[in-house]
Amino acid sequence: MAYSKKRKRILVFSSIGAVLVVLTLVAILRKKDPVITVQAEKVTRRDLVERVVATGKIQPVTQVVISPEVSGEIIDLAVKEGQRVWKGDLLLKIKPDFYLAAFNQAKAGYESSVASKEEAAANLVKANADFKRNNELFNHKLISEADFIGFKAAFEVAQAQLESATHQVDVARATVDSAQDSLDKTTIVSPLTGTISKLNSQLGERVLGTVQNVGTEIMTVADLSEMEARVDVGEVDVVLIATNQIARLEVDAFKDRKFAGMVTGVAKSANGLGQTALSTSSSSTDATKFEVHIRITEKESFLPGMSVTAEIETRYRTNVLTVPIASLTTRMPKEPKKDGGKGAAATNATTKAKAKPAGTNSTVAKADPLPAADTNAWRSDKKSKETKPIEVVFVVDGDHARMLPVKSGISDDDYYEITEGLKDGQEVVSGGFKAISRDLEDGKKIVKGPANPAADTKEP
Amino acid sequence: MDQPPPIPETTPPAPPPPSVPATSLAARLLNVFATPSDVFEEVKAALPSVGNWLVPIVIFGLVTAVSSVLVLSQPAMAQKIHEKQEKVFDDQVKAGKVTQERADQMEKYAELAAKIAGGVGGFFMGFITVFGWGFLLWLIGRFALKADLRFMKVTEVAGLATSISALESLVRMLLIFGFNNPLASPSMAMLLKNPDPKNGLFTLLSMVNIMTFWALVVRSIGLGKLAGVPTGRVVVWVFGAWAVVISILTASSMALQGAFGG
Repeated sequence: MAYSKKRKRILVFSSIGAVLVVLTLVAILRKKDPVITVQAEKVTRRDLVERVVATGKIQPVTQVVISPEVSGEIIDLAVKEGQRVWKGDLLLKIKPDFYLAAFNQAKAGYESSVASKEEAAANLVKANADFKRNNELFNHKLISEADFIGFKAAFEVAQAQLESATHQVDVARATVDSAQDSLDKTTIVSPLTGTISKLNSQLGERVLGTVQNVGTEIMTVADLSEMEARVDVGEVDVVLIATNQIARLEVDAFKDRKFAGMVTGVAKSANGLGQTALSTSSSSTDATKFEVHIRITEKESFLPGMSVTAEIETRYRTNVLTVPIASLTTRMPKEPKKDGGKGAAATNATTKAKAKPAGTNSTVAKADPLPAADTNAWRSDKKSKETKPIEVVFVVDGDHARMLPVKSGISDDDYYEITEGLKDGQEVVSGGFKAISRDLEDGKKIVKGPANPAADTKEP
Repeated sequence: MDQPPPIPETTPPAPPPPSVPATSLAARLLNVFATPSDVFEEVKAALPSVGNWLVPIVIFGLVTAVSSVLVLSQPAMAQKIHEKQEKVFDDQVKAGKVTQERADQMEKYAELAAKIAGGVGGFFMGFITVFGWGFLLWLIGRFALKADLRFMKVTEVAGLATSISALESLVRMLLIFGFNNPLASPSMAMLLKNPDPKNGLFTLLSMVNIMTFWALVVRSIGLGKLAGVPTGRVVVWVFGAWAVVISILTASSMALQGAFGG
């Protein structure tokens, strides 16, 4: 009796123990997917405005750098920096003494050449008269042929001398004109109405002036009533920019205001293009930028060189499905099943079947170094390696994440347009960054929770 | 005539003094799983022992508290429980029975209550179970079995049978972890693919719990031993009483749900 009770106890406790052990093993060994903490947001319809942000400087639309065409000392500086000038106003005078002397010299030379011409004309008259008289005498054989030729030659020489003197007069006249022009260039007037935005030279300085090249930049006259922002846009974004697009400008000097603008021009070549090899070698690693001109439609006391940040509105969408920017990520699509067996054999058979009717192809096929099946397998391997990642979002499905491929459109600072793949009201995972970019896959277990900035540190 | 000699008065023999139980409390707590008859024979013959009902309450409370802490420490579990609570309150808001602010407040209190319940609720439930079953068994013994039973003795039986409930808590915890389902239990409700507490079928199948039945049988054995009644007769009364109590509790719960929405 006691023995049977003891057996009964052993049996019962063994059974209980076995059940507990089995359940414990199941609880421990059962594959548990790590639960990923995420944040979620609903897919909603909203209006989107795509903007391209670029930085640059404010510059006048019209700006002229004044540099002399003649060299000399500035003897009169009639303007100051910041002074308003009108078109034709005197800006400065360069010492004219040298050019005045040159003009006088040229003038004297001209008068001398005129006198020479008159002399040549008088000589021609005499020579002509001598020639005519002696021509009569020669015709009556009263003088020798040698004498006649002499008088003839003298006449022709006189003619030539007159012609030469005439040309000399022209040369002298041109010299006078040039000297006059140089003399005139010692007085510089403003070519436009504007403001002296920059004054580089002072009274008494010597300035260098040439006709072919830019001389000393004495000053800059700018029309400050019409200003524009010249910003640099990257090559990826510049294709979205077009003239007449609206822009919002934020000038550092006017922090609390945003100014309206309109794109008036887009550069057709990148900044720095056309530089010499030496100058471009150091900038070869810089980002490629294109200059965009944005006319500022509002008037304000802008000054050339002020820093500006422009937001150019490039595209618009109304009432479209949107997801937070952080929700959209990419994943590699699953590789298709490799049909190296049947598929390759079928292709091989097709290749051979095609080769047969051609006749000569069979020789080529035999000479082919790779058998058709291996070639096809190699091609499919190459294609799979070239598979591009696709855009996806992760939709909250209970306590699992479901990966859905989507097609995206434009975006603004916060949201992406989704053109295909999602419906209104679906809930998508919007954070954390690490979960979306790396950890999440289709079917993974998720739990909604607060954001953890430490876990979401973006990897470089 | 001589009177017959008077029959000397004899006092009835005094009942044997209560004996000290042959096994220790630990042995009784373990043997109640395998040989409950022997355990309850000892309890019947022994002096009243507080340990017979207090220690099982403590064990039950500890096992329940530890299970609660372990389950709620799992983020997935906590999230599932939170979502279910949230849905209940959302339904109440949609039904217009409470405002959103009030619902948010209640949700916070519910979370706090769940944590407190998980921690100390086990001890509280242990007391309720032991003394509740003690009272029920005493009633059955008194009025159905016509036995003169002392309440605390019956309570000792209920207490020792609570050891099986403690084992059930442990098994339930292992099932929750094993199947990753906060509603897992050693009952036929595990057969359902989508268990839903609001589903009547789920409620019904949850009652078909092998460990609950085991505890009921053990209680029946204990009551039968105390009352000197065959166990089979006691089982009918105990199961019947259990069914009535469960029905009343289920009906009350459904009435409350209907009153407060969800």
